[in-house]
Amino acid sequence: MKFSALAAVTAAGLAFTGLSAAAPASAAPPGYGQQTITSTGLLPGQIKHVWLIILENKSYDATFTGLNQNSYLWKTLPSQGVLLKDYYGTGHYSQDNYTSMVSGQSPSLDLQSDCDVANTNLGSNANIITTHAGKTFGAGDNYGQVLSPAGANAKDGTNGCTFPKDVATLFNQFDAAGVPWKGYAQDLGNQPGREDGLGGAPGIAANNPTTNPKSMTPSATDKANGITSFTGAQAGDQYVAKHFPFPWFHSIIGDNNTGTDALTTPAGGGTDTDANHIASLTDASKGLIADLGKPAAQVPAFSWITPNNCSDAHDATCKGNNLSGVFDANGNPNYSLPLTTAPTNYTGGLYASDLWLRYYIPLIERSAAFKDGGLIDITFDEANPPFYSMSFNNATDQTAVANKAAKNEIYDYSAPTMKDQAKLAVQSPANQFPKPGPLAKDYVKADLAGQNINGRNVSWEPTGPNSTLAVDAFGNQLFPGPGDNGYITRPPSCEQDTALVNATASNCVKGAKNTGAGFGFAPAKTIAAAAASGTSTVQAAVTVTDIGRQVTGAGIPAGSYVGSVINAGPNMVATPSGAVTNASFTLVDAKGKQVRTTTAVTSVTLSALGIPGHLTAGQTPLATFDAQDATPGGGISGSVLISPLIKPGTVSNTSYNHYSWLRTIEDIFQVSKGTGYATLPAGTVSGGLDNQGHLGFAAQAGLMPFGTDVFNNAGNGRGRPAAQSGSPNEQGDNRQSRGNG
Amino acid sequence: MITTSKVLVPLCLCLLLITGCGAAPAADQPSVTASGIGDWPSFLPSPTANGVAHGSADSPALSYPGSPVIVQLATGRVTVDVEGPALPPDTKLNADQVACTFTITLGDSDTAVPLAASQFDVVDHTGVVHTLAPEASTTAPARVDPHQTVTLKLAATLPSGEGMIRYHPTGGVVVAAWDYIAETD
Repeated sequence: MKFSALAAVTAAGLAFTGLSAAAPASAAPPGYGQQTITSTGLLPGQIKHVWLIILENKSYDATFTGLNQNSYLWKTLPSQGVLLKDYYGTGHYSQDNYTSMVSGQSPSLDLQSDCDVANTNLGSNANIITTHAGKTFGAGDNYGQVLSPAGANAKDGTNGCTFPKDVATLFNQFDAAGVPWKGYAQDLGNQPGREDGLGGAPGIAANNPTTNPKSMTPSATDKANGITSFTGAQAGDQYVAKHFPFPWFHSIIGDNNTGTDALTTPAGGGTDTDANHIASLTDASKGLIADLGKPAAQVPAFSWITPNNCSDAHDATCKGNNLSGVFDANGNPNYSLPLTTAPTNYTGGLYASDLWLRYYIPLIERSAAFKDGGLIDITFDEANPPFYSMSFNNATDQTAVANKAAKNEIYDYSAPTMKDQAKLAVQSPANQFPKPGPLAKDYVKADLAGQNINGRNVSWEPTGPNSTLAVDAFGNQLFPGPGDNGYITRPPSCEQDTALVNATASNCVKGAKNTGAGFGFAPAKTIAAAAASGTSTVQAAVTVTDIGRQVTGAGIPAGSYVGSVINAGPNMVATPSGAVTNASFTLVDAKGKQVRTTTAVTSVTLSALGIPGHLTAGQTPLATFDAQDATPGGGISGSVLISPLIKPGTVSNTSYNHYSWLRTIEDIFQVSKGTGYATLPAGTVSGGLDNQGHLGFAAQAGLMPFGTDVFNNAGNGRGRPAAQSGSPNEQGDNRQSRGNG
Repeated sequence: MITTSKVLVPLCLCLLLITGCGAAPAADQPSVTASGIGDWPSFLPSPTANGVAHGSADSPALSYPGSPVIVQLATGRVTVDVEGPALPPDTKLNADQVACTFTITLGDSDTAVPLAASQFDVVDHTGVVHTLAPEASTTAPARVDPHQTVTLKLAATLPSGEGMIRYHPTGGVVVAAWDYIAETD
């Protein structure tokens, strides 16, 4: 039995405080599966204000189980609203999730790579697919998607990052429907020349994707001007454009680099990229706090909020301020202190996002706008695995924290043993590979897909035309798909990864593209270590991906390997270069039995990591290797929503994803009632693709928006039945290892 | 085999028997907001300081092992946490009854707080109350003084599944409880 302690405590706590937990969702009535759902179950106008806060790179199992001890997001906020346990990202690594959320457009590799080469155009209006294929708005229908001019599965740097003007976004729909909106980004504009483009685009104001695309590698001039990175944070400016959706659509920024010729014009005038629509989070007159103090009618109906790369949990150690300096000894924000107060530490991850949320969420909750039909939506772009560098503790750690968290986790995780590693070392036939071991199976869970179609949770999402999925005759995956081979390592492509291919081309996959294989296999390395004589525990900067590597060095017995690994944290680090976790491993022999050091140890050498089934002398198999499992999505991140229309302490097991989210917001604000019905290559602004207001893959046939399982306190007696919460998933769902908590 | 529904229904009933229980006192809410934005909305549970629950005779706190409670007594304040239950390594799979040991830590007090094993008990998921005794070969400290941290280990044989360990420092009035699970599968 895997019992959900969180659920138990939450339910018990609700009873304790006299609140009511949501009743279990009922099964759908006969015939319900044939309906196309276009309603959230809310009455028009019941929700008047939405604040979307997007965080970064954490799985449900990292965030909502105690693994990272982030009690505010893990416990406090779900107790105020609904926890969506089965909310999925739509891809990896980041930017594709943001663009999918606001447009329904699917991933392509430049966006999946966070536009790390240059901000060029992702095709033109002529690249918008204008015909249906297969079942209309079915999984294989790419109507309205932009086909990369470089073709499907083209290399990073060849696709482009900014969508053409006739690709409408949610914000264009708001314009046409007269819905006021604003995008806030923390640190936006802090460093001149770094994000001065329209909508927070990278570079200077003169940069634009069409005639003056910005290279994402800082130039000598950029460096001279104090810019060290466009894709990562820097000390005084932790904004990153890849986490702000607005600059990546010509429909928002226009084509003439003034913003005046965007696809739509805001109802109140101006442009989509002016100061009334794109603002620094902390701007004294246009920022979030300034807006929250206004009467409800003057607060934007929709607010997109992007915390910086520290406060969104992205960076494990922050490059700059994490707001820790504005909290008192009891952990309460001191609003009388300036936000620029020096931090007391630089710890990032879910520690930093908890600080940000503790500061800002109560302010939103106290605002007049929130009390008048407000909805706070805290979500993540994608679900990175609950392991090293993405989590302060590994889900497989044998520590008190990790063991306790394991009771709350959706998935069961298990570290590989030497027996598992031995299977990966067995020679395989040419172009074939062993089945993935436990660690790869742990990691690939972060690349799964899910949504709800016609009331049933399904384990897929449409891939779109650019990042597709396919296998060869041996069952090897050929392309990374939306999940981008996120955290596993594929065999090399025989054609693209030639540096890894052997003389007989037997250790590779013919026709594979964009494998990312170069990031996994590694040469031997010598690292600093610390261990006394006669111990099995060695302190060293290792990760779970080092499990199974042979260990040599002074004081290490012959035939020793890296056994279990622990990365425990968080440490409150005093500098932006501090290590937020303490790492150690157990020294074992080839059978997995603990062995002891013979003398004190000061360094160790770890063996090279090779291709399982095709190892060469001195190599040990890479534990995260997986040739066969597809990576179709962005994994389960979970999401929390708080509103007067949601009963505190609700838990929903319905599968939702970013496309469901988009459909939900479109329905809540009834964008189809807008005036934007001029014909686009595919659909219209207000009508979307399906003439019901749904853009891109939000228009999938039968896609369920958030329903009465979420908005269960609307008090209108209206709406559809909840989805089959907790019901067995559709045949083919590969989440066999899920707990039933 | 214990199921969620079997556990939760009686447990919730037990919880509801604790009157007046709930969230932190209003004084713990931020008294100053950035721009005087507004009051705490009545439809949300009251926030607690730093996620730490506050418990008192008038307003008992519900917590879980590893999450401390700041207990307000008539004479002062003390922070109490519970870890466990720890089970013997030879506990049989799916055992119905299991020897449980709880580790209780008290500290951060601003007054001398008398202490006894009898101040703690367990109510299991069926509503049965169990007394706790100091772990074999240990004795419970008689009090915790200001700036002192004391630990006591209390044991009992309990049904597997869920329950609550309760703290009632001055008699029968519970000031804090920790929801626990004794898993044997």
